[in-house]
Amino acid sequence: MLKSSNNISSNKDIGSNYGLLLRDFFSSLEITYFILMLIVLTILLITTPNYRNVLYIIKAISRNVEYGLVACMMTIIIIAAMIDLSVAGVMTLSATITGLLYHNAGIPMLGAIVLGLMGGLMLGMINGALIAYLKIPAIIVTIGTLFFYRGVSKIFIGDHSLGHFPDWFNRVDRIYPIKIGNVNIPVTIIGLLVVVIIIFFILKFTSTGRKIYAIGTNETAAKFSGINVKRLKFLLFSLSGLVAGAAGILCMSRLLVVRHDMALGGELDIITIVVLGGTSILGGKGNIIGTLWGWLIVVFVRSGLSVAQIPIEQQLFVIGTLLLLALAIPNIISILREKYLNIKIQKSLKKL
Amino acid sequence: MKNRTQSSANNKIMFKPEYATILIIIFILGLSAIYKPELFTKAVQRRELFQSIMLWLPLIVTVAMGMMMVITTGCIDVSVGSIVGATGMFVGFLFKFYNAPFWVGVLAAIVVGMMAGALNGLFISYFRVNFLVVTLATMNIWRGLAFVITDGVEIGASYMPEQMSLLVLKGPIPGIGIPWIIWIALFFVIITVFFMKYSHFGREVYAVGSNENAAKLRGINVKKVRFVVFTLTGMFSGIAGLLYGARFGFFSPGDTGNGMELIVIASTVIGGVSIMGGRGSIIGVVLGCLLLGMVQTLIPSLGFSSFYNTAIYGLIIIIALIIDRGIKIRQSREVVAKKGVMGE
Repeated sequence: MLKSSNNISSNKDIGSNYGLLLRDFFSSLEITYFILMLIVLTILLITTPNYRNVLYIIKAISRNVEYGLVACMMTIIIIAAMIDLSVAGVMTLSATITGLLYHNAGIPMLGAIVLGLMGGLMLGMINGALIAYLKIPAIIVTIGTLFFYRGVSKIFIGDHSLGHFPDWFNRVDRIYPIKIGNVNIPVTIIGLLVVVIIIFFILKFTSTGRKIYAIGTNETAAKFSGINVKRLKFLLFSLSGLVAGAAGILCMSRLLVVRHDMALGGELDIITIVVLGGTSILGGKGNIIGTLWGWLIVVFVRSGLSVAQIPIEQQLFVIGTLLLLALAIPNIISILREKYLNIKIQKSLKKL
Repeated sequence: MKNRTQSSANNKIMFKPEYATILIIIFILGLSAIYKPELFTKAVQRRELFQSIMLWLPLIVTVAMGMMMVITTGCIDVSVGSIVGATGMFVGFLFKFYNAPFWVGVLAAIVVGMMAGALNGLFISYFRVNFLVVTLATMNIWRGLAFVITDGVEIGASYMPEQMSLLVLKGPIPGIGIPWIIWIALFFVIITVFFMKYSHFGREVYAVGSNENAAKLRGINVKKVRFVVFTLTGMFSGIAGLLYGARFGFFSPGDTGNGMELIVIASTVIGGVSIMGGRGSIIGVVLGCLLLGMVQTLIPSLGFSSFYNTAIYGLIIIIALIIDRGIKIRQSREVVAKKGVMGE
């Protein structure tokens, strides 16, 4: 529905009309959400004095790098008109695998990390095989695997937590390779930015990237134009598993322990990030840079609420409302615009 | 269209998902009877097992009736668990701070549940937002609200009116020991069966699920159907919220209805409701609930840790999906063999 209304504006002859181009630029969701991000930040800066400190902001951001990383991959999957709800489960299970291998099997940490990443890849491949080759809808498969993966992690570690990892592994986010002024920038944020840039180029300039958009716009058409849809879907979900695994291990490094309820409910935050970045949940439309803004919105809202001493459970209410309104308001506007256009067309028909 | 009716006719004769569910139930019962025979030979243990399954069922069955309708229209509602939690907390709040009588609680549960469902329906059908995102968002909104209502404090049985405990302890028929809560769930099941099978609206729900465009062209108001279905699901969840307090004797913002959406979706999928919409029977859903209830109660009674629960639910969903897909592939092959046309 949303797609059809947007087609109306994009079908017009854009090249010849700079005014229209400017209007399209400002009416695009990505810019809207960038402005929303600035608004949120401004409100925070005005209301909470603690926030007027760059160091604090950097700290708040670096606490959410894992979700940002997973959201990057999720953006690609949502552009291809699918969804991966199992990411939080994959995060937990591959961190669990790493922790268990280090503690119980006596494998050195580096090997355990590699095996944990492989585990994440495998979990993603299970998703991918079910979705691409058995053609089961991604939503329901990943709901199932979300609980399966988290459940397996629960079986392995019960309600204990695994800790005591080597020193070089703990608190990776406290390594600061770059210093700008007196602000240290953690390596995790730099890593995330690198990933964003790589994905930006893949989506924009490689044929694989364009194929992903094609699948998202119209899967049947993509299939008939010679794209190996199954293989690409399988690849996307496998990669999503790998990235989620990496995020889980990063999370373990930041928290020093792994528990079965790590990143519980993280899929909501991640989908909120992607959607607030202007990526259409119907597929075919979206941008990785937008995801960066969406991520910052969620980070600012979450940390702002924490500074305001609102408990984490009650923050759910705010995040949910934000997601709902951010999606509904553009839709309501486009519905109203359609109605207005219809009235206009009917009037001009009457004149004829 | 003809292929479709043909294949569903074949489906009726050849294979029903219900049969598979019954077979699996018998299989699990047999397996656990071999593993631990005293569960079934001793009368006390047998009765306890039966009771715990029977008392676990009503909550799930009530919500599953709504979920079945939602999935039949081709959507999914993941917010039901949180609606159960929020309405439960709200009812408990009324009981605790306003000394509300029982009927006020019932009314509040129905109204709040319906409002929560209507909010979902409004955003999904009239504001055209994707169903998954809406229900993911409301799932968190209602869970957050459940914490806001009493600032995260649980409400115990001592604040509830007497009738709440009677729902579980007593039944309408004096001689038979079947409590009210089961009769209530049974009542909803029967109502839903008639509603889906014999009412005009029920057939519209199936029509929307099997082909939305065709339904639209036939003059069915698709938006209204979805809206009503989500509202009904909210209502069922609200009632389940009240029943939760009756069953467990407390309302807790974190626990009430937590993870229920998974169990309900699992039971619906196991019951043979196609996730693509348009196909599903209520008896199958009830059997799916029974299967999950058995798994839930048998795991601890067989001596396994309850940490296995989540993984087994997830696994059951995945297996049910693969079976569902297998049925579909076989159907389309039969159609191809008979008609010589591509089924899909």
